Amino acid sequence: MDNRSETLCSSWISVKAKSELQEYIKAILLAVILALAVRTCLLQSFRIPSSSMEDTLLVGDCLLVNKFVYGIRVPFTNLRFPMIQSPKQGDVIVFEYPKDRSKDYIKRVVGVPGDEILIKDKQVYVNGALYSNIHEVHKDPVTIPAISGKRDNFGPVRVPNNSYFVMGDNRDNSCDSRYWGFVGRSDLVGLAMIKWWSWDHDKWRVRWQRIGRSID
Amino acid sequence: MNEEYKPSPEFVSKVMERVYAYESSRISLTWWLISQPSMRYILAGSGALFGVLQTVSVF
Repeated sequence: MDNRSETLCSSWISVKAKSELQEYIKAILLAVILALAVRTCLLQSFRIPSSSMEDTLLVGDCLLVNKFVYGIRVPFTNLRFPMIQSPKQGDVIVFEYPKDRSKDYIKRVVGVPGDEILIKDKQVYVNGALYSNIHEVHKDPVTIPAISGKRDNFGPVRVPNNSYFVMGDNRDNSCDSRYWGFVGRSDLVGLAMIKWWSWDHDKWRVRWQRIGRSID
Repeated sequence: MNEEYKPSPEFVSKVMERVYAYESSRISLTWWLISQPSMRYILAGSGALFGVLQTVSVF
C-alpha cells in the first residue's frame, strides 16, 4: 500500500469514527431524555426499605408507580395537570412526607375529603361504619389506651378538603396519618401499581411468586 | 523446471504488501458491532430502561 492510499484509508477511518461517535452521543442523549421524561411523567420505580406496609409490600420489594393518574407535576414548579382520577379508599398511594418533603412515603388511603375517621381498640370506623381492609395486619396483641398513644385509639377527626387520611397495612408498626396528620393533594406522587422485583435480604433469594403481582 | 514458475526477485515484498493492504482494510468484530445502528438502539433502549427502573426508597 503506497503512502497516498494509507493516508486516504486512515482519514476515512477517522471520519467514520467521528460520525459513529456523534451517533452514539445522540443515542445517549435520547436515552437520558426518554428516561427522565418517563420517570417524571409516567412511571417511577420505588424500593421498600421498611415494614409499614407488610404484608402487602415486604422489605426488598420494588414497585412501579403510576405518576400521571393524579396529575402530572410540572418539574421544578408546584403546577400540576388535572387529575385523571382522585385517590379512593383502599388505594395504595405514594406521596411526599409532609414533615420532610425530601422523603417519599407509601400508605393506603383510609379516608377521603369529608370522611370522619375514628379508631377504637384498633378497629377503624369511617363515617361511623367499621372499615376493615383484607390486607391490614395487627402483629401486636396489646391494645394501647388513648391516654398513652394514638396507635390503637384515635379521633374522631374529619378529613379536610383536598386531603387524605392514610394508614400502613402493618397497623401496629406504621408511622402514618395517626401521628403526623393528613396528606395534601399537592403532595401526591402516584398510585402504586405492580411489583416488578422482590428480594429477600434475610434468605438471600428472589421471591419469584411476588414478581408481577398488582398492588391492591 | 518451467521458467514461468521462477519467482521474481521482489516476490516476497509484493506478497507482504498485499497481506498488509488486506489486514489494513479489515474491520474488527467490536468495530463492526459498534457501527451497527441496531446496536445503538439496543444500547440506548437498555440505558433508558435502566434509568426508569432505578429505584428510590419509599417508606
